[in-house]
This record gives sequence, C-alpha cells and structure tokens, in this order.
Amino acid sequence: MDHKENKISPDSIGRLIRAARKYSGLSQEEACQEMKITQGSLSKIENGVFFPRIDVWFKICDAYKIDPSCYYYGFIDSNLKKITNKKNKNLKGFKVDTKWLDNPSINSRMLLPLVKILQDKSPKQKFNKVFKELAIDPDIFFILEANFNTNLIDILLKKIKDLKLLTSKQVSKDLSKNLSFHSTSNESGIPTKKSLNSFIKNYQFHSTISYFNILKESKNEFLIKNSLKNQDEFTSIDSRSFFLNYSSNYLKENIQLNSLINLKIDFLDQTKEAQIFSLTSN
Amino acid sequence: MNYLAENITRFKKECEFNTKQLLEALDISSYQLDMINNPKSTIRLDLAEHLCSQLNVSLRKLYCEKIEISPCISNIKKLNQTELPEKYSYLKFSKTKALEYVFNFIDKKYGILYRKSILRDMQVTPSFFEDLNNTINLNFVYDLYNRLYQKGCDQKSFKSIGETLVNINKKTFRDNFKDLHKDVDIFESLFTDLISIFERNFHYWVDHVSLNEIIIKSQMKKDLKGNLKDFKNNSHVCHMKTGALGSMLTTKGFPVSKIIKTHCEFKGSNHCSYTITRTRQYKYTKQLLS
Repeated sequence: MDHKENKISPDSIGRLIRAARKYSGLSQEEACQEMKITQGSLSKIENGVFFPRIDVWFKICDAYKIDPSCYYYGFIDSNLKKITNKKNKNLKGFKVDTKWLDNPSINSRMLLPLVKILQDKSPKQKFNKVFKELAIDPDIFFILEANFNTNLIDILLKKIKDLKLLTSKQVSKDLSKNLSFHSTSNESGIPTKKSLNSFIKNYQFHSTISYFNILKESKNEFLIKNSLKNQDEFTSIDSRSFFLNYSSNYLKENIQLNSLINLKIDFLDQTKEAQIFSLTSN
Repeated sequence: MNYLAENITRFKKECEFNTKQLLEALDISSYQLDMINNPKSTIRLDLAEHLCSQLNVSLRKLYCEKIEISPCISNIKKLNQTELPEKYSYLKFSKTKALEYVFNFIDKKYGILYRKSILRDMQVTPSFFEDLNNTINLNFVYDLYNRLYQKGCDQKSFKSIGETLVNINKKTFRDNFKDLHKDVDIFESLFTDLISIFERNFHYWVDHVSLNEIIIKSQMKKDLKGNLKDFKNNSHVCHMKTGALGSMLTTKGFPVSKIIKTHCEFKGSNHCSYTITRTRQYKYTKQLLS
C-alpha cells in the first residue's frame, strides 16, 4: 500500500538530491569527484531524467550526509543539522533574496504545503517563473531547517490565489489537510481560553494576514473572530475570503494537532473584513 | 556489502515460495528478480522502494543488513497478528497506548511519512499501534526515543511528551480518593493506574511526603533486569517519565512546581528517584505525613 500512497517520482527525487547537494555546499563537479560518478549522470538525476541506481543513491547519501530513507519522507532533516549546526548559514548554495530571510520565524515544513500546491497544480514553467519572480530557489523548501519570515506565506498565498489554483472554498480542505505543526505551546487536552490564547500568540503568520479574538467561550465551544489586518491589500471579496478561510482553518488544525482533540469548525458570519467561526470539541 | 539478494533469497526460503510465488508476493517481474540476484547489476531506487514497501523494511536495512523475515511475512500476507522483530517480542510490558502520543508528536513535527519511515527501519508495521492494548518491550521504547533524539529532540521535548501522554489520558486515572486516608495511598493508587494504563516495566513507590516535597522512587521489575538483550539505556525515557509523573500529580490536584530526577537506576543507583516540589498545598489534604 505504501508505495501507492507515496509514489516517488524521478523529478521529486532529483530536486531532493539537488537540494541536498546545495545544502552540503558542493558544486556538481565537486560532488561527482567525491562520488566517482560522471557529471552527466548527476545532472540527469538532479533534473529528474531518471531514478538513481541504488549504489549511486548510497554514494549520494554518503557524500551529502543524508538519511537514505529521506527520499521516502521527502525532506532533508536534522541529520545535516547535527553536522553543520549552523542555522540558515548553510543556505548559501541556494539563491534566495535576503528579504525572505530577515527575522525568520517559520520553517520550510510550514511552507511546503503551499509550494506543493504551486508545484502540483501549475505547469513546471509557471512554477519556475513564480519562484524566479520571488527571487527564491524552490529547492530550499526541501531543507527542514531553512527558516523564513512570514511575508513569504502571504506572497505564496497570493500567488496561489492569482493563479486560481484553489478557490476560497477549496483552500479550507486542501491547505489544512497538509499543514504541518508549528506551535511552541505545550498545552494539551481540551483547549481552554488560556491555551487557545497561547496558540494564537504562537501563530507567526497571523500578524501579517489577520488576527483572532475569542468572543465567547463555553465548556466545549469557542466563538472566534478572525479579522484581516489590512483589508485594502485585498482586491476582491473572494480574495479576502480566501485568506480568512486559510487562517481560520490553520488555527483549527494547529489546535487539533496540539491538543489531540477533534474539533469541528463552523463558519457563522462573514463580512468584508472579518469572519466569525466556532470551534467545537467532540 | 550488498545484502539485497541474500535477503530476498532468505525471504523466499522462509516463506517456502517457488519463484512464481515470490514474484507474485513481491509484485515484480522475473527480469527485475534477475537484476536483484545478479551481483554485477544494481537496481534503481524506485524498484528498491517498491521492495521496501512490500516487505515493510527500510532501504538501509534491506540493502545493508540481514533483515528479520517473520515481520516481512506478516506484512506481505497481511496477517492480523503482526510479528515483531525478535528484539522487541519478549518481556512485552509496555502498552502501545504509552506510545500513542509519541507517534502523534512525530506526525506533528516531522510528518506521517517520517513515522512510517522510522517504523520501517524498526521492522514494525504501523498498524500494530492501532490497537492501544498491544504490548511491546522496553527495547522498542528506548530505540524509538533514541531515534527522536538523533533527530534533534531535546530534554524539554521528551518531558513534554510525558506530560501530554498523561494529560490526554487523565480521565482514565482514578478521580475519587474518598476511601483513601493517607497521601501515600493516594499516590500509590495513581501509580497502580499508571502501570495498568501504560506499562508494567517499573515498580513505583512513595519514599517521602512532606508539605512541600514528595519523593517518588521507581525500579525496573526483577524479571526484566538483566534479561533484556540488546537493551541500550538512554536518558530520554527518564525525561519523558519526569514529565509524566509531574503531569499525573498536577492533573489530579497536586500542583507541581518542579520535578527533578536525583538518582538513576541506569547510572548505577539501585533505583530511580524523583524529587517533586509542590507549588501550594494541594486540595486532597488528608493526612500529610504517612
């Protein structure tokens, strides 16, 4: 079953390998010398022309010091961090405008769902164009420890919206399904107003898109208002609704993940600049 | 050394498959099997991943080690009764319930595929943990925690895992202490719950109770001590237990401000000792000193 659930492709493996090489700070030439393979082969593997043979894969893992199973879970993780132990310092191999790296507060796993939507739902050329415009090498999102500032979330959401890759209704399901955990709170169990506030406080991105107010609290239900910080930024009602749905669902998913309590979200009211929703625990 | 061909041959032999049955079981072609068996050729990563998936084993294990065959057989035959690797299949005193939150933590932090990847490397199928009353031994718990440590989990994370584990199960702990008159009895009734819910590897007792301080001790049960082959102790489980004990007392009305492990059985002491400092007088004041 697993291989059907998680079918690997030469393209995704190639990008992962390229990201690992850049992260280890090696040029293609240097890497090939170390692995004793031809540059043509490595180039074809990195460009997703074919899968690496297993002996080459192990050579790659040795050279870049990556976990041989990382092709399966799809990111370069702390194994490298342990060796380099230099947060954001080994990202020199990636062309990234430093404006995305100032005051970093979110890691690539939080952004990966958005990148994946852009990758899966738009043609390769368009995908590359988006990241060229943003002056960011998309390979960097394979590096778990890469950290960015919150502006990047806003801009990726805007791109998804502009390219009409998801409607504001789809965004609830598609994004929240893939969202990763990103909260420093240790709260658990049925959320209380205190713990909910702590989740909200730990939201890194809400400060740029929207903010939450808890309007009412009962034993197993919260009434929350989600307001856009700067509504003039959004040109259409659909666009506003897209961002509000995203952030409300993000809140729900994170509370659910952290508290391990199943929550139901009901959207009760929506105006131009805000929406009101309830979170109910079962 | 490449163990791939040898592992596949051992699998075929232990399953008593003929070549046709092997091809069907692994869902590969005879050409692919020839590639696997030919020492001069190497297979591609996608075929290797396909074999890993069929056998529920990690690439590193399949390629670089002699794998355990019985878990592969139960995976490929989709048997209800999952075979555990030998290392984890005796003196099974830990309930899978004790690991429920650990896996949730992994899912949250690294993703579901990462959890599956760890379990593949340990040759345990994810479905084994669906039944929260299944049992597994301490080797597994310590191995799992060690992998988390290698991935960058720190002391705080392990403590938090312990706290949350108890917190989400707090309803299963006893709530009514009316028939108990001494603190010691109350605490020890909580330990009885702890053991019945999560694990029977350790014996817990209260060594000292005062207005401000409680000292809890624990010791590995006699039938386990020295009988767990390949047991590699690490302090990560100790940090998790520290969180669990603190949370257990807090959720039942004994506010804890600080909990410190002062002695460790695995560092040469006769027992583990935890000193717990209270924040304020707790609500179940009955008889303060035993």
